[in-house]
Amino acid sequence: MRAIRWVALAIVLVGVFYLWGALQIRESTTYAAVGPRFMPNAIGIGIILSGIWLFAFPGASPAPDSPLSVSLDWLSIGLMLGVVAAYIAIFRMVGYVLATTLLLWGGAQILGERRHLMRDGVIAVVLSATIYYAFSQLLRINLPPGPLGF
Amino acid sequence: MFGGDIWANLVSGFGVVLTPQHLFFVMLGVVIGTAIGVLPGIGPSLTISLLLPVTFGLEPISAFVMFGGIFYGAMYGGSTTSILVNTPGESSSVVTAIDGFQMAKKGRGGAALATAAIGSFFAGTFATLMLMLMAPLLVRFALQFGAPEYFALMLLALSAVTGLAGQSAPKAFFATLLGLGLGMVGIDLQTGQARFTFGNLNLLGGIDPVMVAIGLFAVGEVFWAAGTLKRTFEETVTLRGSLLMNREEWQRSWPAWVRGSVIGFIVGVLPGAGATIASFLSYNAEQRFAKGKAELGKGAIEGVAGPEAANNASAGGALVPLLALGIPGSATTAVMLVAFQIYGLRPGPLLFQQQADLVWGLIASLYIANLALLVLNLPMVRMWIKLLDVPKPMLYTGILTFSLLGVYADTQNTFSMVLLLLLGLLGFLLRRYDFPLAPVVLGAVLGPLIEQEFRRSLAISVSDYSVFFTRPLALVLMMLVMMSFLVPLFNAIWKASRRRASVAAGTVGEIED
Repeated sequence: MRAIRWVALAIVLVGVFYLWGALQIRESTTYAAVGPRFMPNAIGIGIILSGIWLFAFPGASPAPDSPLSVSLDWLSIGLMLGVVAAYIAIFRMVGYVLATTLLLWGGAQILGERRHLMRDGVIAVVLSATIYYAFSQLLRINLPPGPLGF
Repeated sequence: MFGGDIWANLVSGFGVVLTPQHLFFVMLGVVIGTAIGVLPGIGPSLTISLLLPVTFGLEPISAFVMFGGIFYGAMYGGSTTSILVNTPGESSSVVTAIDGFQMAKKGRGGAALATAAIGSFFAGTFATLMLMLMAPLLVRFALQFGAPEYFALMLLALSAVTGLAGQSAPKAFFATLLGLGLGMVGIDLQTGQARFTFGNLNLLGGIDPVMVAIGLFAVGEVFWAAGTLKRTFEETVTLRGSLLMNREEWQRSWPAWVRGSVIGFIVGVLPGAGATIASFLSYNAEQRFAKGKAELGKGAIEGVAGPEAANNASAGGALVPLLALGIPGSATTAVMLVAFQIYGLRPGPLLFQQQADLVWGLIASLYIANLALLVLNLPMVRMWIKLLDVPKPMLYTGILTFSLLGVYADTQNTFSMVLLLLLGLLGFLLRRYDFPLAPVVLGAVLGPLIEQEFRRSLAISVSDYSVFFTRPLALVLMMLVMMSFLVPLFNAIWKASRRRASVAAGTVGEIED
């Protein structure tokens, strides 16, 4: 079975999940003709229908030379996901500048083919320090300072 | 609102904008917009989304004149990379790459950039003029609209997007519903019931459509880059020759500018179509009418002049329904609608009456933005090209950093960053399987509004559903909605039956989709 048909089945499941979520909404007893459940129900049913529709008419396969047919570099995608998750986890703890330096530096290493450890490190430090200064001093938007105060 | 008023209003609009501070923001918008347009992977909707938290401290008018500059600037900036790198910065510049890159290879890259810049100026000015003339007329008409008409109009905008976005109707249909579905999350304003929050207090306020835009477009793009960056190859051409067009190139360019401007504006006004479709239609028109049509595909200047004019004109056209009706027809105008809401403004007929300064100041600033594009961009083109030297890995990681910063600055909690990451993964998957992203953003913005108008209509009619079909204007709109749903459906069935017929006949050949 073609991948897109699996996607279509996944969409049907999303629709079922959405309808289940709609079921959890307490229908209010006010005079209103259309309660808070009406639209969510309609959307859930629509999602299921769109999945069935896609299953029936999946369309042509992408051309072999289109970017959609490129086999993906799953390792890089996974590493990127890990770096962002780690960033969110340590963000408040270690402070904006340190966390963001690690994100910028680590992300660039994952995405790049060749390593520029020093150059990327310098860019990462300068950029995150600049952002921190601009936001906290000029725009007065709080960013987590961390134990070191930046 | 009569003809004379328009010019008086425009003069007062210029009076509002011609202050050093506002001029600065127009210029800033144009420069940022162009830079963003040059850089791959980030478009105007994303730029405006990322800038929203930074603009909170500004007066609304400063923010909106800047957004206007970004909108036009981004449309223009996409052409530079199309021509010189064969990598369109935006989807609306894809066609520009066909002939633009061939021209650059022949050493006429300078002329291609010039015709794109002058054509963009011409088209943007034309579209702003049309916007100025049309919007007040539409406003006068729209003052008679009630809730059923607004409901039908929004439904039409959504169904048009569904019908026009991408190749596959079921994929676009799902994308729209997904957006509407995300828009339902949070407290229901009419009854106070929590919806789809699953006990998480952070979700009570709903999912900000701006976050949806940033997640799908920016974070999704970064994951996409992680998966593909090491496997793709780019050919770059250095800019040779003069930036001036010769006589023949001028003569071939201007008819294409005119055609592109008209096509682009009309397409821009229609919901759902937008800059990409405008540029493709303009290219089709050039294939039919251009003097050098035989050369198209091999470096004809019309193939750059027409589409580049068309995408700028469509930007102006898209502002007509946004400003006059309060109904966005694209991801960019949807994000601009959210920006208006953040400032407590509701675009539409009342905005023209209550905030005339703001509306006319915005329109005046669009003229200035176009002029600024022309004055700034041609001399600065060599600097824009330098932007392409930014290493891609750093560029994408930087986009990621700014996206996370944007949502954190807005909400001050890390939950929003988790949500952003999830939306980014969603965007990546949608992209992988070729689903259109714009309808998701549009749906997330319009979802709560459309529900509100729906309930309001039924409250007026005391639960009588015929209210959508007994008012003449609502009826016409509803019929258009049904048509836009049925046409792609019949199309798909017809195609499938033809396919079966041809398979049965033993002619297993190429079937165009």
